[in-house]
Amino acid sequence: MNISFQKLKGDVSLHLAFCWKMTIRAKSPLTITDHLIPELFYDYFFIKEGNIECVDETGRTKYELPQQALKPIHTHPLVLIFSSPLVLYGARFFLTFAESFWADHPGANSFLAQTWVRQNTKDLQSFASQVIEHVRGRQTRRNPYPMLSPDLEESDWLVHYSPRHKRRLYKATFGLSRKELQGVRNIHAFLEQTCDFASQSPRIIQHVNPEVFYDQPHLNHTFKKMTGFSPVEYFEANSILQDNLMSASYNEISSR
Amino acid sequence: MRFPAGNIEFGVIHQGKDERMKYKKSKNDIVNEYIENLEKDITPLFLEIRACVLSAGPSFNESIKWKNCLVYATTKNHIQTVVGTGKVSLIFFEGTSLEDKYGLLEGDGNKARTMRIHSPDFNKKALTDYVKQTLKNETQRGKK
Repeated sequence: MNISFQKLKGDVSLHLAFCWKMTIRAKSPLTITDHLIPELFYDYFFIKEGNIECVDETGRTKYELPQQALKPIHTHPLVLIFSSPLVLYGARFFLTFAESFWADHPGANSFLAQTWVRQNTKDLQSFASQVIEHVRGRQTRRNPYPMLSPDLEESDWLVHYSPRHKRRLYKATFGLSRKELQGVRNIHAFLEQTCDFASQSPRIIQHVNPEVFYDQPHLNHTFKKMTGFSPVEYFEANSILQDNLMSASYNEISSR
Repeated sequence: MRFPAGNIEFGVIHQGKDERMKYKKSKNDIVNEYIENLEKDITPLFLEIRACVLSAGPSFNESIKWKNCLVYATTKNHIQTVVGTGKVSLIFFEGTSLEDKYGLLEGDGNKARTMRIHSPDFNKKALTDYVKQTLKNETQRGKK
């Protein structure tokens, strides 16, 4: 099996973190199971070759992904089943993308069928320029200022709104409450650490941030609910797309 | 440093004024970014180990996991590289199934074993053997 992953830097003014292309080729056709865990990014997928089946065990649904789809924020794990050969293009957007999305709202926990690029897209450069052109022509500002800081702190301009109204605003913009967004953020605060589990047995406890989780059982419970794995199981699990997207995203965030 | 023959793209890391390090570029851009951002003190050792692993297991695909670990995988993860201060640790996820003729695998867990490497004069024969055994075991498991 031969896997390649290419990445192209995005455009921050369009909330675009980066565009990518993943190719999986094998001598004989095979299916590969990939696990997606919740992240605070919006992903646009364009399946150029092959197909992808999505299994949502929480929602107990199984469906084939449309050729072009936008994945909003998910609060539970998803399983993607790739069939090779696969040529998949993608664009990853920051959370703030939701505040400039042109349709009603991107919602949460479900894919939105979209058509942003042409079928005959040849390479990553061409994919990226089509995505940029599409987003630039349609993005609309929903609010006068961003609602949240990168650390998910509420912006000052929301201070005079009632909690009920703010809940409605969050739901209308992100499809989720601020608490749910923070839950996803907390898992990544744990994952972003450089965990050295090379010692004789993994010691998760040394990486539990007391400001985020009460104790290790609290981390384990939240982690399992959100990712479907315990931290150690996740450490060993194979997830081609998720691993690549996540490490590329951490690089983008740290370089912002 | 030996690389498998073929049409290979090489990357160059600028270590100092006159010092340049060539390495076989990965098919994964994120791995190349990761290598280019490594601390210059550990880069030669890291590249030496990587070349040895890829030469013994050319079917490996590379990716970065958990922000800072290079993983060698086929249809599943097999070896994880963790860079520490002055050392590189290789975690063999199925380490208990390896025959340790060289006595270099550490750990007492149920599955994983770790090989710690501190200098470029490490036992390449041993690492090659562990990598080949890892891939052989996978093939045998697939046949069962």
